Amino acid sequence: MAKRKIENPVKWTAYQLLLLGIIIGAIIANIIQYPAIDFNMTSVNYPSLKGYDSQDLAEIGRNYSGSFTRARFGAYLGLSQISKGVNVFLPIESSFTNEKLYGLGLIKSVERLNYDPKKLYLEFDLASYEIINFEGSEERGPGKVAVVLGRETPEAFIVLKRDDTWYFVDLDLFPEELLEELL
Amino acid sequence: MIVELLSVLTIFIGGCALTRVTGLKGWPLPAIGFAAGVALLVIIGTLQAITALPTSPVLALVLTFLLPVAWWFRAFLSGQEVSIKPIPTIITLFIFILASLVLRNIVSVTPDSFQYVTIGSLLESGNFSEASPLILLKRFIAVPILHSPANLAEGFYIRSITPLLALSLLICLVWFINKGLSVSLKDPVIISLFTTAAVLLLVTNNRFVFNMFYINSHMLVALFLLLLVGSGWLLLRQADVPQQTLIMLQVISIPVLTLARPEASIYAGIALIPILIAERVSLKNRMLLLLVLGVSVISWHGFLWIKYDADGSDVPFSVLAMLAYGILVIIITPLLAWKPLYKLIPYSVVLTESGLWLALLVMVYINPSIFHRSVLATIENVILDAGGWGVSLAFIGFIVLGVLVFSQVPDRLILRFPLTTFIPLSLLLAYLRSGAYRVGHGDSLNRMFIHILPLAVLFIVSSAATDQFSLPEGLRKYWLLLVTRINKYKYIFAKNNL
Repeated sequence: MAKRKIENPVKWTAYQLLLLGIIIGAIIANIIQYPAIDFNMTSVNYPSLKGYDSQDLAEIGRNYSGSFTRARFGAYLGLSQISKGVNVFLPIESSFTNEKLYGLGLIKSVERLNYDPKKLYLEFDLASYEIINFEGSEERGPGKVAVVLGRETPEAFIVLKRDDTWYFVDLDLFPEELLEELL
Repeated sequence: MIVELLSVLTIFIGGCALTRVTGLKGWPLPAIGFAAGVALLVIIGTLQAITALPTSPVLALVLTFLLPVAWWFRAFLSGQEVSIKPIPTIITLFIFILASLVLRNIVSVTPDSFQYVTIGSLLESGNFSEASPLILLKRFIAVPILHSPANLAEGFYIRSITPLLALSLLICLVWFINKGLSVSLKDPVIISLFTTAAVLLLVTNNRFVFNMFYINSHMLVALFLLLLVGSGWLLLRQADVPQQTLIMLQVISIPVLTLARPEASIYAGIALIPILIAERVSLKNRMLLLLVLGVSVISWHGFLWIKYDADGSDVPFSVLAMLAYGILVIIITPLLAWKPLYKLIPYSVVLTESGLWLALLVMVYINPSIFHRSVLATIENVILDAGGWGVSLAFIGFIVLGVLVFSQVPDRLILRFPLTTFIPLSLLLAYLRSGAYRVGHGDSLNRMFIHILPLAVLFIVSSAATDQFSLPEGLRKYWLLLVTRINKYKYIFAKNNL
């Protein structure tokens, strides 16, 4: 804890003033372009996120088009309520749209599924228990949900409900024999 | 919520006890204590996971609490100055609980988050052996350990842990700036203004706010990289801080980085190089830091090797490479004391930096496509706003460059080195993962920038202590030459009425 002599006891220097000015400029630029947190604390006693009603799960930030998206990762809204199961969840990327995820999060029963590891997709229909083809369009409604799972890497995930428990199952962890039984 | 509060309080009290024993007291203690507690939990949890011990988070939390508290009692009873004041302690606990409750209201997740909480769940349920080696290779174990206690209450993640890490990071940054600048500057107003500016620069950054609530390892890495480098900086500056605290922070940061992300142990190694060449740090401490790095890397990657082997899969190249790295670090450790090698150590900075650029050049020659696509995607992410940074990151990059060129601050190599090596290192990582970086805020490099952002802010603000506002020595010579030439020609023109 050796105390050293002050190296630069001089007061403000031109460099310091300039640096502080630039930093303040950067802060203002940050605030102007990205108001990530709504600092209006009047209605709630915690910071809320612009564009989100929920205080639960949400992503702060913007989507690719530059606007805040309400439904983004909305599916996970239900995750805290989902019973604990085989573990996992690894939803997807581009083919797994926000709307589909949202539908998935809302619907509480999936009884049957199919999975094609070669094509890396999964589709199912709650109402008919039939496999449906569901790529690129949005279809959800009472008792019906379709999920397309896909990634560039050879990973995949399945979603099912057994014994009243929701399982988002990462195939890496899923017992092979159980998968065969299900398929 | 009760399990969550108990978990974070356990981490907090255990970490504060450990930090207090090292001599630190006052306002930075809670923030640094929390970070120390997180590190303890990660280290203990990892030891449980890679040995035959039960992986229960209850055991990890109990040990995180008991070991440092017992140490604190021992120090207290032996007459060491480790006392705590009851009223500030109660107020601090109250503020901490309040912060935990407020901050837990926001969580952000992406698909990666679910792999982390999956591993955490396996740890808690005693099924860690079922975890796929592929997932462990990608996600490592530090973040799962932090979230695994949530499973005790049928949850998946500790909601407040990442925001608390971010809060800890901000307070640690304030501490580093305050103590670091106090060595050079006298005026407390200047120091306070720069400290405030640094905090505001971070908290107004969109991606920093995103990462404050994001279940992932980014904030953890950002915090512990800052602790490792910032502590080294204060150590070299001989700031008015207990040296034991700084060494402790460095020692605990290394395993956390090693266990948090695949590339973070390389960051740790790079961040250590300027410390290894610093004679102001005792040889014993330098050897200790290297030893901790080597042991951490070998332990985790050795475990992964065994895991892959048991799984009947081929051991990936990255695991073997990291094992070789760990062994190399262990071999170098005793050699630090060997005088012929010691003479070469000062060159390690230049060798490392030029080695990284050279390796990148070789890789670009072999496969230019990955480099081109990575650079184009990164430009789009960072400058054209595809990565969610707006122009914030580019702006900070330019300020760093300006500070680098126009200021001279003693002992800043330690702050500069991890920043400038980040560029070639991250581009090399694209080759190691065999895939170019992508456009979009989900891209790995786009997310990795947060690891060095607090460090960049510290670097910028540290230059407020510059004793001259001019070009560095080398450039100044050419600048003066240029100015002299111009003046000479001006004189000639004036003389000849041209």
